[in-house]
Amino acid sequence: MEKGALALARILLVALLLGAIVVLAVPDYRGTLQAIWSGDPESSPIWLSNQSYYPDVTLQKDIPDEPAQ
Amino acid sequence: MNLHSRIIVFCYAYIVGIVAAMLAPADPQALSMLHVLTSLVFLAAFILLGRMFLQARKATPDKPYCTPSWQWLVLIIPALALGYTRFIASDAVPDSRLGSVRVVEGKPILRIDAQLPDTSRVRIRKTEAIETDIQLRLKGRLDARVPVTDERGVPVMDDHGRWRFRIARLQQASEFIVIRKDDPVGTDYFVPQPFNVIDGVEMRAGPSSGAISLHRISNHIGSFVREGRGGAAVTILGRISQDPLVYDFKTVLPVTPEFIQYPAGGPFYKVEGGDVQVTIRPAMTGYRDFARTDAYGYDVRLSGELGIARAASNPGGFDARRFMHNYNIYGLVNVFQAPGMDAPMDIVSRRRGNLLVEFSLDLRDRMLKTIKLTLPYPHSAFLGGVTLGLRYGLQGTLCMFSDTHRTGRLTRPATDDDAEIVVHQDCEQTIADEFKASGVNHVLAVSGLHVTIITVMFIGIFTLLKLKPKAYVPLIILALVIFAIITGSRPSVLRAVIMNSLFLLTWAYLDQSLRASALLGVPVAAFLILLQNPLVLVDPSFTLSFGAILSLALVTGPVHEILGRLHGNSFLAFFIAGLSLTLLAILHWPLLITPSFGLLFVAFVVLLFVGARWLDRRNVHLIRNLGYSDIPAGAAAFFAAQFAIQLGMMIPLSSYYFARWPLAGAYANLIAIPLIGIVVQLGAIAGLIGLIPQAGVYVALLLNAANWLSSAAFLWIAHVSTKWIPYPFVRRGSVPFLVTYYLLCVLFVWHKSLWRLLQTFCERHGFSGRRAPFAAFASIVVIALIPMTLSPSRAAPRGQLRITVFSVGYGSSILIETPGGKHVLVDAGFVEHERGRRNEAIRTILPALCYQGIRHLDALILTSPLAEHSAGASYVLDHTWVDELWLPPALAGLAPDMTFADFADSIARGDSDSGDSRALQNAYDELVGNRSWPARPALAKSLTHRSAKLLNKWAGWGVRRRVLAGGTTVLAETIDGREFRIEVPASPATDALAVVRIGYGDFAMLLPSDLGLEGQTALANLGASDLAAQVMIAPHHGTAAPASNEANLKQRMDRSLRASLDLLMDKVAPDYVVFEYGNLKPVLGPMTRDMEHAYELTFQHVSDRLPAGHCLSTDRDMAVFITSDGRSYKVDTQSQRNRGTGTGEDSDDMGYGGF
Repeated sequence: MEKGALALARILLVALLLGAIVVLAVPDYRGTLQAIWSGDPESSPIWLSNQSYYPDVTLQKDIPDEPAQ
Repeated sequence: MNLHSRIIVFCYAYIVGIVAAMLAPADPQALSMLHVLTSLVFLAAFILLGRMFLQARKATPDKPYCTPSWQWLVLIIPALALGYTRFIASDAVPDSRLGSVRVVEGKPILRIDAQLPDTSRVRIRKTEAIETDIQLRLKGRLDARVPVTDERGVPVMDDHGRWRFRIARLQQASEFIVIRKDDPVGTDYFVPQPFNVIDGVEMRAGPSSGAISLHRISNHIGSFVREGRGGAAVTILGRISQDPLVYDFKTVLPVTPEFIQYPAGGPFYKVEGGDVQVTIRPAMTGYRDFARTDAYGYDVRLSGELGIARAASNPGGFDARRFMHNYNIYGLVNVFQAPGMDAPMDIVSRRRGNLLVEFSLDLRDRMLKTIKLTLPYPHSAFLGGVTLGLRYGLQGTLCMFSDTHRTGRLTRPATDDDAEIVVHQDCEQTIADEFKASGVNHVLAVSGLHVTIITVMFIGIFTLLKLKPKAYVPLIILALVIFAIITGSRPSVLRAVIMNSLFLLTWAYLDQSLRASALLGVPVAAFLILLQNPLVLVDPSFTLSFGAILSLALVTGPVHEILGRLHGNSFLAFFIAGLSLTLLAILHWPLLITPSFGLLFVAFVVLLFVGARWLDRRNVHLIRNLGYSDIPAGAAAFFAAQFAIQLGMMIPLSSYYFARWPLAGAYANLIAIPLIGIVVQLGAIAGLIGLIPQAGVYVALLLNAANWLSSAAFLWIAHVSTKWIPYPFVRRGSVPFLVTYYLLCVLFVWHKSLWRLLQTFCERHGFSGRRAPFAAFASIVVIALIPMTLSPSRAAPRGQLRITVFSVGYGSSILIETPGGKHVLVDAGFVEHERGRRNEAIRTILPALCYQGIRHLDALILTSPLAEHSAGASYVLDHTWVDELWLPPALAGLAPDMTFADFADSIARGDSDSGDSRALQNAYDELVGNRSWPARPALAKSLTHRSAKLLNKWAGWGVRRRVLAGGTTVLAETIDGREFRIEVPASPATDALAVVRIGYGDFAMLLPSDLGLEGQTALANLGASDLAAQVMIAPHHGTAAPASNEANLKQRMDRSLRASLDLLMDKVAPDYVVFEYGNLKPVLGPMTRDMEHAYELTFQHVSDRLPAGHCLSTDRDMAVFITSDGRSYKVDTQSQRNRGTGTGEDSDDMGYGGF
């Protein structure tokens, strides 16, 4: 089990490093990072590309829930 | 027998009980008796087991307890009974007997044996022969439910969540029911009026004696559905019982109905089981209230049309109705709102559903948000599919990789509507298609692989956090349950969750090994899933999942052992053989399965191994002693496991379910499966970390940015595999074939144990040496082959002509199986490239051919260049052996470099019915090539691959082009003195169309193809006497209409039909006319209302001329079958056959049926 845990830790570490490179190198990822940082994630290029994918799942709840009965 | 073994035996016996019920189902009316019998058997078993337990406790070392030899019967018989009864109870919705009416001295005497539990419909059954017709009606009472409504007219519920009704007690009397003396005993008569109490009967006319029985129709939702075009208008009060499936153009809601008003304006019935699937569209008022996860648990009132999923429309076709029944869905409700109409659907209560389910669905949505924010489309859809079971994001997305991809952009421009992403233009396949063809589609169907990845991930996380197994195992099990709920609780997931939970519990608390818990886990998981729903036993999700795990558990070991014997030269020989096989499959797969080449290849492989042995003896080691055992243990085990899955699951079950074998899967999965382990773990961890407010999303962004690379790699593997490795159709396996195959697999897995057993047996009976056990083993192998010989032949018997008019929507495709055993296909259906992406050749025609065991066509005839006849031809050519391709004269010069102008010229020459410019463009795209989509198949391109090259000749893969000129005979043979002929009668059809006539002895059938009204008139006016036929296909699908600005279409049509089709029918004098009809929009685009109207008028016109039931239409009657021995003939339909097997309904009865 310990071997598996170490393997998972290595995968995560490598992923974080690779991910950092991708975020720095790819324009749409940079744009997404900027949009999230500036508090406007809905304007990020990546979010916009997913507009028609499960459109009911949004970043804001615009239909308020009624209290449970 | 220890406890493990007892549990395993019980579970497998339960499965055998279900199989017995499938093969020999009892009458559903006997269900109560079955329940009683099962209870008694269980009682007896408990008593015996209790007795055995007590006797075992009293045992002493001097008097040890010997378990009786019949002890296993105590487990098996109750399990068999339970499995049998559960299946019958799940599959059947029996009516219950109410009582009877006996006629004595001309007077009816009513006897009620059981009261009606609620508002119910009744049917009368004729139980004995009668002298004269009986006319009677039932009397009683109806307690009509009227919902209590609020000021908006919406029904309300009380504080306990129950629907509120007012009850109006009404005297009720049915209409007079006529029980005819000529009707056979056992005929049922539906009583349209519902009752709550039946207390009288009035007979208006009848014999002096006789008897009928009264039966209550169950209020199961299945009894209210109606087959065919247009469902029954209903109102349903119920609950959204699962999370909605939200697409961009519709939402599908699973609803459990509690009450149904049937028909519109009629009484409300209390529903006694079954769910419905409700489809709503964005135009509906309040759509957004339902198109969201929060809608789960809502109590709703809805009005719509209740219909039913289609049973198989063609031989061997997909039975959507049975598939949905397996998941307790018995009806489909279409909700639409006409302009000016009130909202057809209202939320009555927003009560919470199951808390755990609500939590799980909310968690899923939050994780999906993180995915959508951190991964661009379509990688997000891919990750959503493999991590959260969201299967519907990739259906319409074209592949990401193409030869012209140059933009470098990840995302679609959000605001520029006109911009196209160049990457898609020359890539025909969708990502979903590529996954299927490359054999990695299983990763999109969340199953045991994903569950195991999640389990291993959590074990890793908790181990990193230094927690002990006894502490974290319950948390992991809870996580797996939540994962199962999130991903839709499919059988494959449930199986894996149960098995993994068992493994975790036995490992953490009982110190048991993985193998021991796997052997116990498989049958226990199967038992629990089938106990809840026995119908999924033959569902692909169940069998593929269990097939995979059993292959892994049982077949991997022997495969690993055999491969482990390969060293040095023999290993090299194995590698060369494998590489050659792969290259051949890529370069020319038909050659690979050509018998003569196959034998040569087998000889080549034998030579390789003989050569390896020879080199070994001479001590020549080309790769020293390197072998399979030198591969790292993990990689070697993984390779053996993949081999085992191909052997145990993919080869037999892929052919049985899909009639195709993803060759690429054997290779793609070697990389794809380890890669998916990384993708799922990173995605799951990113999704969970993204839940942390503020900081979590940044870490998730980094992780999913890395995951973007691995997702892209996965998509690329699927794309490349599909591009290079074929995805061939194969003969569809039958159940006896599967039995033989798996018997041989069992022999392979346990060959050593069996060999030892046989040796011991032979020695005990005086046979020493290897010969006797070898002979015994060989005999067992031969016995295992017997079931395959019992496979029912689906071929037409010699001397019989069999014609199948496929139901392929608004398209045409007819299979002719000649009396001499030849196969001819006339036309190949249409292909819809956008929107629904419906390819009738791939989804209907080729699977039907494979179902019939047909992989070779003597001729493929195209009677018209229009897309609804010819679009599928290239796909048929790419996947089937075809000796001759017959084309109308206008297409004789078909070539990939033909210009549209030349094409249109050759088609339109002298043909006034050549179709509009859009139809011509479609025809050009399908026959020559689509310049905007160069990767799309086209007939001319397919023909270039079928030229008379050497390899094609050897494989029989070449195609000869022939021309369908007037007077041509396509095929002729004489069987038992009767002549069979497929010919083109001398006709006025133009160079672009061909009229085909099939004649066999006294029987004939005419296929007028796309002849318009003028063409029909001209054909009828020909002097030829050879047009007479008993069966005729309606020309032009029945949609030919006169071109005129006159407003009244009916009058125009009447005049035109009298001058054209009537004349033709007078000349042909058919007994039957078959319309090849379906939804026009995929073929002809919008603006088809006039043509639909023309069809309706033409169909009615022809129906009026023919006897009842002799005017058929493939959209309603499904596939049409005509058989003839040259003297007489018979016509039946897929719809009739479905009724015969109980998967259809009698649409004449008012909504009665659906069982």
